[in-house]
Amino acid sequence: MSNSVSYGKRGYLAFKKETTAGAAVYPDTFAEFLETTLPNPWNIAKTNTVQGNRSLNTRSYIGAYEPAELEVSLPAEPTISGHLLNGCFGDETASTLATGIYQHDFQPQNTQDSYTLDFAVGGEDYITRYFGCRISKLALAINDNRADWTVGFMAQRWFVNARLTVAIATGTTLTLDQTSGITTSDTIQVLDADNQDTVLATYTLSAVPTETTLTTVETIAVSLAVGDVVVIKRNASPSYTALGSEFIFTGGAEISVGTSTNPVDNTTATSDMTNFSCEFTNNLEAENAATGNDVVDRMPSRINLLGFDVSDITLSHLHANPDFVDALRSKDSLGLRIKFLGDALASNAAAAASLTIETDGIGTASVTVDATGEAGNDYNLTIVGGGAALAAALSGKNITLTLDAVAANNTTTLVAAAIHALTGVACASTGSDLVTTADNTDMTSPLKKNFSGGRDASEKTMLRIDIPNAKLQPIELPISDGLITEELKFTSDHDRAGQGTGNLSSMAKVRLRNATATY
Amino acid sequence: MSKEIIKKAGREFEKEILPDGTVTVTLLPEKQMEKSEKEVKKKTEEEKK
Repeated sequence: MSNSVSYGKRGYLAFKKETTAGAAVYPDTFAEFLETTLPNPWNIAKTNTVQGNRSLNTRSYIGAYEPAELEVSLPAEPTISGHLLNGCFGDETASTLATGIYQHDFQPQNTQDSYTLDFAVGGEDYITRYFGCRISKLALAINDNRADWTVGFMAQRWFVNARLTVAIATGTTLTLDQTSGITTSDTIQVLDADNQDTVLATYTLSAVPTETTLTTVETIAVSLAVGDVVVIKRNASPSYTALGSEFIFTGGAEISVGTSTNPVDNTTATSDMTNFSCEFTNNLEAENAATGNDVVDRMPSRINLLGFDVSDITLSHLHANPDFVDALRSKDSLGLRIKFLGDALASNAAAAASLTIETDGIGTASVTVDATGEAGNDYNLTIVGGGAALAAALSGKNITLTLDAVAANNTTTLVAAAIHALTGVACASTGSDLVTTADNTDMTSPLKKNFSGGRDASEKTMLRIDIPNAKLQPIELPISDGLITEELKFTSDHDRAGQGTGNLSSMAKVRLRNATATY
Repeated sequence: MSKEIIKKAGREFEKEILPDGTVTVTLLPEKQMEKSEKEVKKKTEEEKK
């Protein structure tokens, strides 16, 4: 136990995804961060009686503890960002592009992972642990040309310290008032209650049998008194994850806007956007229930996941013409994309994007974009049934395949021939089968699927945020003596055509490319 | 706007390019082809008689 004055620079943040929500695990991923505050929401409530005493604070009692809410800000870079996105959106879909090069796709899921977070304060040998933590907010903003995340956590429970409730001088069992938050991977210290700079004993643990007992590996050989304080010892040698370069705005990002059908698949690069921000939020609700009378029972018994939103989406540029006001007036759906590129990741060759139309595995029709490159992944194909004739249409990067009401006309051969005759794509068929709308169950509703596999040559790390259905909010033009900066504010609609399982994913999609396999 | 008839996989398709760049390829009915072929054949036979 150090008695030096606390110093922020010597602290650390460590975290780990939990297996069971609210059951602490031993954090082993360390992250650099810019700023946070550590809440201690031990709520003391008051009983204000109306007679006998003029004091308005005559009696206090232990209230239900609110969840601990933390906000941590840290630079957006390609490695740690994946953990934050996974925590905010729910489990990722990871794919391997090549050996050591991975792509992570995040869309809002209906379930959310929980995390255990450790904070060490410089000058202290022990940590504060928050567990059952859910991400309530993940906001991206440009700060002095660097992209920064601000992460809001709602912690179901926390462990700062516990007190011994039984004096002991031998054996291997410590009896205390809280063990929730302690894991068998931890080392604990017992501090003298009368002088908490004095460490009486240090133990590793073989078991955490109950909420009020710990089993130590070492035999207890000193006298420990009731009220002595148990803390979790900090990691002596935190191993920091190799971080990539921070994502930057000017000189590192591209913003593009789409206005047509499937606008985020048909964006055009803008050249005048000077700022960007957005915030992904999970509405969370903590629940305090009567679960017992231990200290931990005063903390929330669970955290419920409610709605998802994308808010505070802003773009700024100098007003040049009324195009955005026109889009606002007509309630147009716009597709917004910001793509940050970072460090060199691979020396790969460019590859063309493709899509295979599944037909029960008996026959296939595979479409490939003529031009190689990542932009080919924006091509998408929608299958519509019951048409007057088999037809394929290409508008921008949207391919619509209309199947003939007469099933026999929808052979893989004819489907491939129709698509192949379009411009900019090629299509080949294998086997002999009929293409049906029911075959393509992996497509979201409506039966639309994006191409994949398109790669630019010599790929870099990437963070790409897509807002597929952005709606403008009222625009105010500040007229003064100077150029007029238009601050565009958006909300993110879910795609009404995709009601049901697909509607959340139409609000925001994030793609991260880096050298980390999974999150 | 341009239209052309193309033959692929033993069938005829109509390819249409609209001014906005939209390309549509539609499979033409097979029965019409057969019918018209039969009519031509019938006419030729009648002419021979």
